[in-house]
Amino acid sequence: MARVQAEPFDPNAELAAFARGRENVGALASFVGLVRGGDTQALHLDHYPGFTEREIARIEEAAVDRFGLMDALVIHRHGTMRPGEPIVLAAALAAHRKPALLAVDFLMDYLKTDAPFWKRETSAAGSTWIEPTDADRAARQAWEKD
Amino acid sequence: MNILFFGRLKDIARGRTFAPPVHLRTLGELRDWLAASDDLLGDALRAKGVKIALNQEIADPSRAYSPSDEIAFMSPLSGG
Repeated sequence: MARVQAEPFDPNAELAAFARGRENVGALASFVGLVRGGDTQALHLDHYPGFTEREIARIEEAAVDRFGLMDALVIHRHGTMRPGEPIVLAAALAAHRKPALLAVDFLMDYLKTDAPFWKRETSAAGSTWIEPTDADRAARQAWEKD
Repeated sequence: MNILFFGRLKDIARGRTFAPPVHLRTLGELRDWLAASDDLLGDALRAKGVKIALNQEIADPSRAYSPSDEIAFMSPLSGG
């Protein structure tokens, strides 16, 4: 399931709901991305309503197919966020540990470069756009070689 | 035609209205026409990683569009 929302979310509550009632599952793996503090005062994420949700769903489907998951979950925020707040939750349910852990890494690498979000960081120095680095692109491309 | 800009491109294009000539056929021609209208916008449209969406699907610049389409020019994406 792919959800894009402005409201903050509680990762633990979301994971509990995601895993509830599943009996033939041996592994739930997850990652929560937080707004990093330091110089950052706020992070602002723009999205493209409709398109963003569909592209995230497409990334989820790719993860489910590739790792044989029972289900995948991505919750991603847009709007303005403060340091310490969750931006993204990616989770995978699988029969075993390895595919679940790998799927979460895969989801995050693809979200970094392929999910339609635009990120602007505000610090004391002003406001700047953040774009994917060569390292981000290399991490995503590494999955295509496997 | 609805032309949208996202990311850095949105800042640059903000407040401008575009009336592309009717003889343009492809997304690439539209991009080049927009780029020629303004140096700053031109540089941003030609930047590495800029993508085009036609009716909310990623599309190649060679694709033809029609006046009822929604076309988005997107600066490099940065989710996660």
